[in-house]
Amino acid sequence: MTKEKLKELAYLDAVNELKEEEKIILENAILEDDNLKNDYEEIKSFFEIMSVSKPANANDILLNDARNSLMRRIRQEADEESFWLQLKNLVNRFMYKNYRFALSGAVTVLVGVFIGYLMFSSSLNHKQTALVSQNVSAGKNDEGKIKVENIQVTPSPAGNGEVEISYDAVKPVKIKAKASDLANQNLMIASLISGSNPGIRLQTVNAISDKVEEKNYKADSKIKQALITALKSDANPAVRREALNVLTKFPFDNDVRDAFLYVLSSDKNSGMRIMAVNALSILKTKGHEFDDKVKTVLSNKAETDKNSFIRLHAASILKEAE
Amino acid sequence: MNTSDTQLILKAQQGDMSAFEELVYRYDRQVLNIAKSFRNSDDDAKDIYQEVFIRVFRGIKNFQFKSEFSTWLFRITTNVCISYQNGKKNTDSIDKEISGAGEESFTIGDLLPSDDFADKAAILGDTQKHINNALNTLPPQQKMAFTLRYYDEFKIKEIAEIMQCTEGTIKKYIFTASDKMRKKLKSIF
Repeated sequence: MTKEKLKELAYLDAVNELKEEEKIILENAILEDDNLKNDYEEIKSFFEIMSVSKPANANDILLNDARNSLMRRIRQEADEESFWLQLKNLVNRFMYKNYRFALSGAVTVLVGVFIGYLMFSSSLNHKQTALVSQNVSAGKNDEGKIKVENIQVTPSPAGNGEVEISYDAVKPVKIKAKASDLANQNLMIASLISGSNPGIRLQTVNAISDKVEEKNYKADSKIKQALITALKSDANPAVRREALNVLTKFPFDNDVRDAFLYVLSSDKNSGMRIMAVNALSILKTKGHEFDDKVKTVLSNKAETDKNSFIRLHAASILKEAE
Repeated sequence: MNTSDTQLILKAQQGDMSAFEELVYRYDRQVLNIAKSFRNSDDDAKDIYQEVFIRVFRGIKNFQFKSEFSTWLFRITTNVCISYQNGKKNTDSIDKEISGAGEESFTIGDLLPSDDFADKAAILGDTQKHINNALNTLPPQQKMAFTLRYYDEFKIKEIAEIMQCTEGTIKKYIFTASDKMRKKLKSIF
């Protein structure tokens, strides 16, 4: 047996962990080896010191303190655990009974309501605040989307760091209604007067024309004024021409008369002036009497208009009128 | 395992808090003593005690009676002690100072200004402190086996079960630890 193994036996003997046969081997070795004997004595001495210096066991105060802390924490854990357990049981109860159908239905409804809320609250939000950041589609003309234009940011006069943001929020709206509907008429007038697209203005005039041709149409002064405005000031000659055509279907009153005369004397487009003089010619044919105001303009045009057809035609009407 | 332990465990597994409490009170003094002898600190012992029983509380539902409850409990205790020791290593300044000197080269004499250590130690009454310092230089497994054997008086066979090692390994731990301790504390005996 090696010296190291014998030393290990000596340690184990000191703590009474040796078997009988190992004890005999150790005793014989100690008798034969003085170094091992010295080691053995030192080991015994070491364990005497160790036994004296053994730390005291935990006292009751420490134990009770530890118990109290532990039980507080365990109850806390138990409460948390029981909450989750109750929740789990509740869910299980629903899942393993027929309630699950009702539950899934209710959940579906809730999800639907939630999605609806998100959608509509979002659109309301657009209407109310028209947040610039959410409407960076400015310039786009997607149907149904708010278009933000003409954004202006100015510092607040109060000087408190706030800024004032102003902008035009425009949302295209499509409605279906009879042309005689008041709301629809107003929209048509607005479209004719301030629409930016000449095609749309032209369509509006045509729509008015269709309406005017109906049997029971009662001339509306606002529509008439809108047509006159378009006739006098629309930049697009096609719109002005159609407006003049529609006005010929209106009763020939002073407003219509003045509009025709204005075109005849002031419109730079000779085609428009020809249409105006033709309109007066038709009216004359239908038996309308012209007053001095008309005659003066006709006389003037018969002498000065650059277009020979207009000069001749104006002279002809004037002659008939006199 | 006696019948009573089994009944208490079964009740505790059903969520019976008073059964669990009774089970704790049967063994907690031993757990606290193991922790205290291992760390030689009341505060550390309390921390270890609490951690051990929290683990028991969480794990008792999965206890399958494959071993004695006490063996399972003390196994948890030794594991917590060892991991606590590892965690403390970086923060415990005394441990750091001693271990920094090198495990093999350290002797109590190195810490003292003269060789007449025994007298001074006796006068100052700090033998225990030096023994603890020497203990703290041991690797946790050796220290655990050593304290379980000499301080808590478990048999080698029991320690082997608790630490899930063979008896031969535990004997080796104890022999190595004792030999190191003896050499380090040579000057005081």
